[in-house]
Amino acid sequence: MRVRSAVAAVVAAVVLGLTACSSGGSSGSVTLDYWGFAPLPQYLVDRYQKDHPGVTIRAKIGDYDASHQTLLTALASGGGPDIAQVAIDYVGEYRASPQSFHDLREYGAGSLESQFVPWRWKGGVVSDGSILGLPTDVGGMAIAYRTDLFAQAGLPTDPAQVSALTKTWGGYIDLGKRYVAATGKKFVDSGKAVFRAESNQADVKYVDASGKPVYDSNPKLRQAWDDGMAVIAAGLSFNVATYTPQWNAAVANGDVATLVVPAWMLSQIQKQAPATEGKWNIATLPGVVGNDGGSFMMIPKGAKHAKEAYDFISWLVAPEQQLEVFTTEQSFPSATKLYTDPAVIGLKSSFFGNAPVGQIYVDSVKGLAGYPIGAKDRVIENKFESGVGRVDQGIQDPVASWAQVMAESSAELSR
Amino acid sequence: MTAATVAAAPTGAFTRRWERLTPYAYIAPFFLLFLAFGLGPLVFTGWVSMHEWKVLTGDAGFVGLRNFAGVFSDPNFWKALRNTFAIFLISTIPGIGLSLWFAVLLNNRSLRAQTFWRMVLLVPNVTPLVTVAIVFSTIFGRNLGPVAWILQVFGLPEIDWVASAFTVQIVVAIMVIWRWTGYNTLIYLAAMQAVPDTLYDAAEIDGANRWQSFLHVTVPSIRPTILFSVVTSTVGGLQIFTEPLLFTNAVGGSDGQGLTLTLLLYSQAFGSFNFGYASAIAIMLLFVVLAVALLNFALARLIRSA
Repeated sequence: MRVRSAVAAVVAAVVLGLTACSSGGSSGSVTLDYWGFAPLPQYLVDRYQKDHPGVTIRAKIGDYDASHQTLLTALASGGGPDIAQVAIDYVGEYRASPQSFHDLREYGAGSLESQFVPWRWKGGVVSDGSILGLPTDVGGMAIAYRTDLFAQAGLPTDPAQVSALTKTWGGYIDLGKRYVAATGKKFVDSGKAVFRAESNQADVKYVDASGKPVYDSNPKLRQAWDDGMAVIAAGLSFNVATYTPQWNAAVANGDVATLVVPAWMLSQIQKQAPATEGKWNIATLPGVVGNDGGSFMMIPKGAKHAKEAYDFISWLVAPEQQLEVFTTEQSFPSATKLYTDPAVIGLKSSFFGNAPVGQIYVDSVKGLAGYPIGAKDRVIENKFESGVGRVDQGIQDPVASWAQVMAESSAELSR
Repeated sequence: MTAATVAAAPTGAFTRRWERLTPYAYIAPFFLLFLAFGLGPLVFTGWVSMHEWKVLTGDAGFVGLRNFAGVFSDPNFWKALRNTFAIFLISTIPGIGLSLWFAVLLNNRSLRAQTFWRMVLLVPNVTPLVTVAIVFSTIFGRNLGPVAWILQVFGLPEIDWVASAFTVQIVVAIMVIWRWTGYNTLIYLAAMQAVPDTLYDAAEIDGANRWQSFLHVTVPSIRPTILFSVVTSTVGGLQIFTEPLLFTNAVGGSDGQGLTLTLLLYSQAFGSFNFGYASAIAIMLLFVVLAVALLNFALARLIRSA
């Protein structure tokens, strides 16, 4: 899959490089090249084009990793699209090179700040105050659990009671131990899921506010690691990676009783395990707050129509459009105004036992502090997640795995 | 040729010089292309390998041989080297044996539907690699798929195929064998059909059984062809990339179980964006390939003189 996408990326880069030369027209007709990894809702594009005659949005949607790789190599050669969608996990690499992007303050983006939830807005702002990207959606976090399996294990099934038991990660793990003792089955898909969710809750992750690496000494990161290890040591983890056929089967077959779910994963579960409809419910995440995912709209320096591009993205991320995207795609808004909107806050999901998902996911992103983002965060995070994976696979003990994570991370930073 | 030289002789120094240069003009396109797409990038890679090189900010300064020192002390490099050779060996040796066996079976004149069998053998080779890798990932699941099911039926424990380097190597080697056996079979078959029947007749008169005539007639006769397939397998084996990438992940699994040299190069260049370091790996790969090429060359001479 990845290679095909890498090839596609190269082809796309070449094709875009060629077409870019011919699209520099004038006379009121403007073509905006948009590169991203998530589909751009066509009805929004159509409406924007209708309201802005002469503007054409040409979207190229690639695979997740491939689209970021293509963008980086295009930027390195001074090219790139008019608009680039960059995921939160990848934004560090781009923030490290502010000179590759337009500072959106040129176009008045400063006035938009108050519309967005603060931690999400900060992700697009670098140390000198330049605004490099406008935030799109957020990926609040919660715990999805199987009420039928909980009942078989003699555990409470009411979301309020479950949430009371999972107030902390320790409580979540204790609940898992009870489930495993009663059923002999597994409680969660992987130790990585817990590590990832908990590390994203902290106000400091891999670097401190000055950009200095703290992955080796940050107690909150260490706590997330230890809780991931505790999940594995207690035999709660089924050790399947997200989005593999094994994961889909585990979710559909009830091999795991809970999942640590970002908001956007709910639709995945509905698609992969339609037969489990009504057997789920949603509890709050231990520690309540959390986020996984979301992206930024950025304008590379090489953009041929930066002003028009800004007009489009500022329209796209405005609360009205976010609300529409929420109702059609179920991606949660980053515009705080919508956190009191009945359409958002009142959302219930019948698939997940009529759970008040709107309220739960809004609560999980509202109180988040956010963490400083370093240029190598994604690479170091891969090392940590591989480290949790090694213990989950039973091929290393936590001490040896941690030592390898430290060695590999510091080697990466020295390259 | 003589007529042309005779005719050209009296026309002066310019034409003579032109005639001397013409051959170079004819071969120039190749060398220009080689310079642009072969030697040029090679030299540039060597230059980048001695710099700290970030993808967006570019050259971050000359660092001498630091990247090479890093590669030598990088456990993942040695892991990748080990994996690459292990996959090469456990895919090439059984693969060639299997191809020879199939070729002998197909070399039977009384076999029906010969064209059909030849086409069937080539199907794996034209199947897109991505499809192959995804199908094999499904076959070799820990708790899902046919292999897991068979293990379960016989009451054997689950095998987490991606957890250990050895099992990853086995699965990747099976993918390689599945893909290339048919191709090699056809090449051997073509060579076998050129072996004169008189040799087999003579062997039969001397009292050789089928195995003996295979060993003492067929194999020596098609030796150059076997050598050719060993060389192509080496080229493919050192570049093994897609299969381990898709069976594990972009960094070769949680502990580099499926990390090969090209996958390490890719993950450093396009996963971590350390272009300088990745270039150093590329140069190291060049030396590995050169060493293997020399070995092949020595082997070829040995076989030819045998």
